[in-house]
Amino acid sequence: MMRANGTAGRSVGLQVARMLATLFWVLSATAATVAALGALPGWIAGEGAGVRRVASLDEAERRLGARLVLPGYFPDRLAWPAAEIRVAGGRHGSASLVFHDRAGEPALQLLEATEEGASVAAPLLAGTTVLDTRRTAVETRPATLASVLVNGARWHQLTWYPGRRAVVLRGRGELDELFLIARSVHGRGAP
Amino acid sequence: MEAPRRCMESARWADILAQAIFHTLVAALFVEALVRSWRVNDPGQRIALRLTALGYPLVVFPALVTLFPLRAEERFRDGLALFSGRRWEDVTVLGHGLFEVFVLGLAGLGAVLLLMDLVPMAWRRRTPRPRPVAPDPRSAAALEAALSDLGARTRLRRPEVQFVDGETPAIFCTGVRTPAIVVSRGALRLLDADELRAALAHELSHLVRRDPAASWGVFAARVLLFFNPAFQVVSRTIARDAEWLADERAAELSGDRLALASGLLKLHRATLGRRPAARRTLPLAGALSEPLARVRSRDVEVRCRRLLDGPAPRLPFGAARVALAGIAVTALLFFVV
Repeated sequence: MMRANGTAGRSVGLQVARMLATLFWVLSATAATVAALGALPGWIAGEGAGVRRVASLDEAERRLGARLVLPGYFPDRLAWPAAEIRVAGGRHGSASLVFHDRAGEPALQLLEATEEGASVAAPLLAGTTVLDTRRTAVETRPATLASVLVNGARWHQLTWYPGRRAVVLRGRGELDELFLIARSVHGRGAP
Repeated sequence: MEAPRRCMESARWADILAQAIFHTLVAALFVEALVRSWRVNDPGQRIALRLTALGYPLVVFPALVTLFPLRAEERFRDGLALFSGRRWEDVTVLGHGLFEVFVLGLAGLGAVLLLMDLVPMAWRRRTPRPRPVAPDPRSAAALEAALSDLGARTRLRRPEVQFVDGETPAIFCTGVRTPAIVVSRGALRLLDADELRAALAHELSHLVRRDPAASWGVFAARVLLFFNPAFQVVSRTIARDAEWLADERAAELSGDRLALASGLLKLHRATLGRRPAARRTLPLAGALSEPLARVRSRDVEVRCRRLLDGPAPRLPFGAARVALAGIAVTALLFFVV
């Protein structure tokens, strides 16, 4: 009698275990499929996880919950507004603005963190190879000037901290022009 | 100020529409995977599980949207969500974001699936329904014999039987407030006594489960969620399960599975490509599969095979399985925006 009860109990336990294991497997497979579908747009656009393309500066500021800094000096050869705006790192994360020249080629890239002391979010800097660096200054603030390869193209890259926020400015034109633009970078309004 | 607000409102409604479609799709696929993985073969248990997917957009999804507004916030979308439909806006084809393409395409598909049932039903309503008449003595005797035998076996209340004086074979149940079984003279001529008893038992099973009222309820929900293709498909699947369940109950009531399969086959062959003897009022039972004769033939073939195979075993912990499936799919879809 007791053996029969024990066998029945084991059988019930086995059935419950099989039921839960199947449920777990189906749930995991569904979650993985949904997550893959969620990540697919980023993969298609060639963006890392957490990077979000936005339509306007206003939307970028709304997502980041902070005002962006922008150059006051903007050469005529560049087209306004930014051709591509991306944000990463969620609230108080970082933004990347790509400006094209009149021929439609990427000519200026402005990357910035919106939180004091924070670096620019790594996904926005992905695909960069630093060739050489040297110390310099933007007005009185210490800066780093580097030659970098971004997706196979050579850029000048200037990194400094205006208002204790990390800003990276990349240009493909003259260095003087890049410094002029860097010196004109200022807040877009009250934070 | 008014234009941006209107724009945001419409974007919010587009998000809700997209979520309703995608959530139901995931819930339906999830439940379908469970039905197959757990090998749920009892039609009652299949219906209970699939009702989880059908009930999701009607009950759970509105609750998620209402009770958890944080799911609509960008912080949630960007940080916690497993899937964010708006991300598909970033992928464009011919200048249109795939988000809009998917939402419009799926909503269009849902509307087409509904119209495939709605249009034939509306078309049939144009022809007047034949008035029930008193059966001739021979038909009355055949019906009396079958119903008395069923009554003795089941002790169920005898349903109202409406006799239609037409040669096209038809047996179906109808009526929400006053349920009845409609039988045509053609059906009585076609079926032998055992087949008639089994066919009447099938319709009686529908009436006992109040399937006529349920099918109108589901049809009303289909109209409400006309944009939701997964909802349209799941409701069709449940209609087929309801037929299967009625077959099983009828086989129990009549005690003759073979007679039911034989009657089903005879009725199908006799009505293939013919106009029905009487206008059907059930949107989900008979009328649903009529637009596609091939699908209907396949349905009948599957039903006959199941009848010949014998009753399907019930799985243990049926209620727990339904509850677990509902909880699991809700937990998963909480993170899908």
